[in-house]
Formats: sequence, C-alpha cells, structure tokens
Amino acid sequence: MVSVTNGQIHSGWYKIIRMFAKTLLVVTLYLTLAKGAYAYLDPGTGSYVVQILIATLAGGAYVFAMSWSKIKTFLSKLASKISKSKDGKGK
Amino acid sequence: MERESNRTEKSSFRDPSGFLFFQDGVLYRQINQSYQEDFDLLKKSGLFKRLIKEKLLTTHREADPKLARTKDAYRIIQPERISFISYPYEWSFSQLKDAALATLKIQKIALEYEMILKDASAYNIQFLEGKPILIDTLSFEKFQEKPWVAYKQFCQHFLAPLALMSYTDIRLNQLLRIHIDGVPLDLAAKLLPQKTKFNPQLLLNIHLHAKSQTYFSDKPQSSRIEKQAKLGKNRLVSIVNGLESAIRGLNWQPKGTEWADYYHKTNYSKKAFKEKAVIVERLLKKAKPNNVWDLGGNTGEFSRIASDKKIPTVSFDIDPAAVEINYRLVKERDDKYILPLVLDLTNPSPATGWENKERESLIDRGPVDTVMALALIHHLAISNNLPLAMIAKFFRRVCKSLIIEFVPKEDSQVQRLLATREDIFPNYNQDGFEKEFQKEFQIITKEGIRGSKRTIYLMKSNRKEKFN
Repeated sequence: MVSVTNGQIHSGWYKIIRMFAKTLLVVTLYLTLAKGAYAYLDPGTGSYVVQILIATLAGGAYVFAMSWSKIKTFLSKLASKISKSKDGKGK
Repeated sequence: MERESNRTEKSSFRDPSGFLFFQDGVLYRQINQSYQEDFDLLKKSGLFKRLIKEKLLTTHREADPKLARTKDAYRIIQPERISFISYPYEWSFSQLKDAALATLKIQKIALEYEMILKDASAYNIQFLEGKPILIDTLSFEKFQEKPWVAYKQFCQHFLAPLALMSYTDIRLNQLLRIHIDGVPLDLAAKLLPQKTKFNPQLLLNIHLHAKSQTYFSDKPQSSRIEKQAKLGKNRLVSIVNGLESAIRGLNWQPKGTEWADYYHKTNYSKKAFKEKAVIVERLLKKAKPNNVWDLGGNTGEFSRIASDKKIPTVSFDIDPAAVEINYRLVKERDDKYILPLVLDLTNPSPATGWENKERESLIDRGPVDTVMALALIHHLAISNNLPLAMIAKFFRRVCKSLIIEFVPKEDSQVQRLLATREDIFPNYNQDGFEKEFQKEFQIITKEGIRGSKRTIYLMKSNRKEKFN
C-alpha cells in the first residue's frame, strides 16, 4: 500500500493515521449533537474512537467498492460500445 | 450441585439491573425497576422469543414477586438451570470460538429488534446441551445510535485470547484465569507475533485498539467523547461483521500434544480396551449416578459411555488438544450430555474475583454423584508425588461414588513414568491402594481387566451424612 502525493511517498500507515485524525475531528463535531447515556460498563474512550474509525474505514471501503463497481460497469459499457462501433465499421 | 440455600449469587454484583439469589435452594433473578424499560422492550419487541427459539438465551419462568430481596424489585424470574457452570479458561479453543460467535449472533439479532448487548462477557455464556447459550437475560438495552459499550469487553474476553491461542500458544487461554475482565489488549498486542498486524481485523481490533486505549487513558476530553459519540446501526453492524470474520479466521488444530494420540500409543490391546469399556458400563449401571465427572477423560472415550445413558457428564482433561477433539466429537455427534473441559487436576481452577467468590473453584462446584478416574492414579501418585491417602481424601470430597482404575507398577505406562526417576513409592501397590482408599470409601466391587494388569473398582463414600 504505497502512494505518491506531491512528490512524497506515503505508506498505508500514513493513510491510517490521517484517517484517525479525521475521525477525531468527526467525533468532536458530534459533541454538540448527542446526549449522554447511562452504562454500567466503562466503554473506554479509546474503544469508542476505534469503533468510529473502523466504521469510517468500512464506510470508505463500501463507497470505494460501490464506485469501483460503477467504474467497472461504465468501462464495460464503454468497451462494448467501442467493440460495437468497431463491428459497425467492419460491416 | 449442593449450594447454600438462601444466598445472593456472588458473581452478579456488577450490573445494577438485577441480581441472582437462591431461596430454599432454588435459583432466582431479581430484575430491578431501573431495568424495567429494557426488560419490557426485550419481551414486547419479540427479541426474547426469537432468541429462545434459536436456543441462544436461557428460558425462565415468572416467579412470585413476594420473593423480592429489595424494595426496588420490578420482577422476579426463575431462570433455567445449567447443570455445570464452566469458565472460559476451562474451554478448549473451539468452545471459546463458538461462544464468541454465539455472542456476535445474538448481537446481530438484537440489533434487528433495535436492542443491543450492553455486556459481552464470556462468563455470560454457558454450555447447555453441548451448545453455547447466553444465561444473562439482563444483557440487553435499547439501541441508541452509539458505539457498542461492550466492544472492549468482547475484544478482551474473546478476540484477544482466541488470537493468542491461535497465533502464539494454546496455553495462553490461562491468561483469562488471572485477568477476570479478559486479556488486556496491550498485553495481547505485545504477545502476538508481528504478522498479526497484516491481518486487517486484528490490526484494527487489537493492535490499534490497544494503542487507542493507551492514548486516551489520560486525556481530559475522554468523558465528553464517550457521552456524545454517535454511531448508526449499519455502521455498528459492519463492526460486528468485521469481528465475526476475525473470529472465523482464527483456527487451531489439535496435534502434537501429550495425550491427543494417547490411545494409539498405549499397549492396551483392543480386547482389553473393549473389556474396560464393558466393566465401566456395568459399574455405572450399579452406581446409578445423576451426574458424572470423568477426571482425566482424554478425548471422552469413556465419558461417552455415561453420556450415551443420558447422564450429564463433565469430561476433564489437562490436554487442550484432547479436550478440543472431545468437543469436536460432541458437535459431530450432537451429544447433549458431555461437557469437555480443560483442567489440571494437580492445580484445579481456583475461586477467583471479589472475596474469592465470583468464580467458583472446582471443589465448590461439586460434589458430583460419581467420579470416574480411569488410568489416572499413577499420574497423580507417581508423576505428582501425591500420597495415596491424599488422593483418596480428595475424591471423597468431590464425589459420592467412585469408579477408579488401579494401574500397578508392573504396567508399562507406570514403568515409563518411573524410567527417568528414582522409585520413591514403596506403598504404591494394590494392597497399599486398597488400604488407603478403604479409609474413605467402601469397596463395592472390583474387576480385573483381562489382558492387562489393571483393576477397576466401584467404591462408595464412607461419609454418607454429608451428602444425603
């Protein structure tokens, strides 16, 4: 998992850390939205944040999978169009 | 099992929603008013019915409200009893794995009904008729679009120990014996090999989770984040699915341990083995027990003689591989009467937790009607230097009758144990054995196993007054 942005090489870890920071931001945004609830277990803040991170990653993966399937559909349609038009030319 | 007749169950103090207590020897659960809303929702939503139907939650009967122990009682229920309470540090790999998967299945079903598990303790799962089942009716609360309160507990009680057993060493399940609320994730992260960081689910749910816990442990904004974090249902389901795939991906194969291939190594002839089984069956018929502990039960070969007679049998063995094989057989045969458990009899499960009363010791969970101790005595007396008198006293404490095999020094298995050490056991012979055991038991019958030098005894405890 290596990508190049602005001439710099970033590892997968860098992405995860960036995502983590973003998630923290999202959590902060929620501060004004929800009210507290009672629980007898201490859920652990770190455990909450990780859940939000995982959910965000899963959400990202879902969006990626969806867009990838759209791209694939688009490409396959394009390919079939091209081949059709080629066939047309051949006639 | 014998219990004090009117006491509060010492393991149910953590959750203020209610508690368990005994009245005249019957187990009841008081549900407090603070849990009224969630309890009603559990019933009205249809979740309770669904879980009962899927055999994932124990049933209960409504009991007399007058039995209430405190003024804030909402309901009193009488839960279905589990014949033997076992603990995660006594389970084999697949037992803990199946318990974890049952917990996640319950969680997913609960979310369908807009409820969620408010705890995910391995101690809330027990084995009933061979299958894992949730025993705590008060584990559910209304889902409020928040992260899962019990996520940390699930990782500590199930994911971390299973990952450690699978990737590092099967014996690490014993960490659960020391850490009553599951294996701390920073410890698990340290003990797991580096390659587990390349498993996305273990990277997130253990390694990153541990780092995140450490990072936030002393941050002042923590309580605000906890109170106000939000997480929708679909996102929570994706987390649960992730955990499920992580658990399903963990495996362990029982092989290469001391006992798993024991029966292939012994010089027991097939005929002698068969005859031993016939004798055990005959003695069981005579003893007529309501329950059996097979101590040193290996893969359950002889436990199945009892379970085939529908006698609830706990089959203990020190070897996690043998217990794993036994449990797989239980599943394969759909055996409702055997509970295989890992136990080192020379250092049995102690009483742990608050006041040493939260988790019971092995002896606290007895006595049992009949103990079977087949091909066991030489390991206790010779490998562990236990005097015969002490062994007899222990058996008298845990059972009313005893089916025990005496293995003499001439036997090749004993010779094997003596090969590497000095013989400091002058009294280890059949006469010495009978003499010591007759101080605690009455010998009802004894039968020699043809084709071997061994003898099987049926004995009855001398101390009738305690049990009857």
